[in-house]
Amino acid sequence: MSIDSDLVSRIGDLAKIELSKKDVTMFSKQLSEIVDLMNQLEEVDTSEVPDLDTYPVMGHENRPEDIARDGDCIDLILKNAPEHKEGFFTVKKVIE
Amino acid sequence: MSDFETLTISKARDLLLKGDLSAVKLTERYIERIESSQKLNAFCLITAEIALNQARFCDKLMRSSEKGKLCGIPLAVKDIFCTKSLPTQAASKILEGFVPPYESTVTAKLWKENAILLGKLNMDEFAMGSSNETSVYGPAINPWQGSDTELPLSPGGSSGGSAAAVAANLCLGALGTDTGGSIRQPAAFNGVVGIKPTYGRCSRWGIIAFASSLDQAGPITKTVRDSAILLEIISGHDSKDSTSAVQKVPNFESALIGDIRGKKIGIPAEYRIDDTPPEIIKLWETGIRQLKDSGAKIVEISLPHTKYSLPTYYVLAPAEASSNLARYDGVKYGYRGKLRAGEGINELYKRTRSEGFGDEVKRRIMVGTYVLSAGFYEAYYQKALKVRNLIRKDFENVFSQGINAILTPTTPSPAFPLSSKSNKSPVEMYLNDIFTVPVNLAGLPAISIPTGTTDKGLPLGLQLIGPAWGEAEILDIAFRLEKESNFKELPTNWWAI
Repeated sequence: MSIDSDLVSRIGDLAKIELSKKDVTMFSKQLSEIVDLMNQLEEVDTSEVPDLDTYPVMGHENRPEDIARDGDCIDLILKNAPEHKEGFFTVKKVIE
Repeated sequence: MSDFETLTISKARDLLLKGDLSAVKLTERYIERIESSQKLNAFCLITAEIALNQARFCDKLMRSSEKGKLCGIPLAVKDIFCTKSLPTQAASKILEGFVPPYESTVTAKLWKENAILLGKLNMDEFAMGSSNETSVYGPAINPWQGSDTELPLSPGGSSGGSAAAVAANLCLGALGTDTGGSIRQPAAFNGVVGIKPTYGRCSRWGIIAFASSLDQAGPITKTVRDSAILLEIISGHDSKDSTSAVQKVPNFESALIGDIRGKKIGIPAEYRIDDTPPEIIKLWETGIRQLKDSGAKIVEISLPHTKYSLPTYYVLAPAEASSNLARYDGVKYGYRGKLRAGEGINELYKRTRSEGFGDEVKRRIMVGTYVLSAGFYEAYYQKALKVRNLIRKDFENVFSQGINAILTPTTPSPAFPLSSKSNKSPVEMYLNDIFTVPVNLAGLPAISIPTGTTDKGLPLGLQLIGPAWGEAEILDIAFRLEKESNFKELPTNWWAI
């Protein structure tokens, strides 16, 4: 199956990746090859097969209960932010 | 230290305990070695000062009952493990400047046992790659060289820096991660041992995520014994990772007996693929004979859905990656793209991600986005989940018939020259993973051990796959195979300055 330029651009939009014309041409060819590889799965009859369980192996049954911990570490979280102000991440205005 | 080249974790542990070696001297020797091996580009961060401070502390601690099991042992870890107050960027530009305020659980377990951190190791960007060429630092170089080529060889990937560092004796052991073969393939390419544990054996907390249902951390070492030592320390349930399992951690080192009489070793017909080079077939046959001569019973087995492992993996891993990597948006940490006048939040996300990710990562995010998008989800993602179930059942059937371990080659080729595959189709690079991805899809443990070389002198590895939670048994069989194959070759020290 061919992944044409329009589809690559649409995927780029969904994935929030800016693509140049050169990128679109390159990814169109490469994604088509990858989709050809994925299409081999059509050969397998899975009509009676359930989806995979949550875990790929048995042995995860005795899961202890999750315990909530109060993080209280705003400063640590903000430490790596490119920009922050008054305890918040700073971005361009989103709502007009 | 006349036998420095062949020093192992277990030997160093004995020498340190007896007082025949000091942690400071050993650490100094490794720092010197790392600094003169920069041609290999195995390290992306050298933590000499931290290492020496830890070593001084270890020397004081050595005679006390408080000392940990790895007291004074110099190690290094892949750049994918978050290390507190030390730069960690999974070899990606998008994590430029990121300094985690926390430590990954598995690395914390090493330091708790007083291991010494020499530095962080090179890798493919976000562990996506089989050659180390997707790293923002440039690729690590394989310390092995073919007799007929001057071209540098790939150390494999994604834990290529970890395997190259161990092979070149730049550390006594290393941690890597394995999502589709990223510990085992580089281990095979560099003539060292690497084990991917059962899914859930080790905590993934603090490891930068690639594909969460497949990722596992594991050791890369010079010997099977050393892998057993490190694996035991990093294993165990962690309340911070709900996918780590509550399972008893065996004493893996004491499981190394080497008596494999009566063990059933499965040889899967589907791994005999048409264009496997004769030297790989020969290596496999030699391994089979060595196990048989050691008293094991060789059984022909079938894993009928093997051929669908690669397409299944290359649907599921990118799908999980596209979701995991959505967090890199230029807002919370790492690289932020520059905006032009009038541009807004959408441009911020797109510019950051297009400038911060390399091509292989973008490719996988886009494949993942595609297979999860409306109209394609059932055809690809859901279909792949079902085929994954069939692949898992193939293994379950075999192990339920009493097979103790499965023996296969680790890779379909020896190490290849850098850039020899990167200009070709990505699918061609993905074929490298053909013998390793089924194990991740089934969540099973598998170990690669070096058992021979090509005619040109490059190392080759065999893989032993075990049932879930069967690490102790595959380590023991690998221990025997290590003894029988007697692989002692070392790379020539061409890189030292």
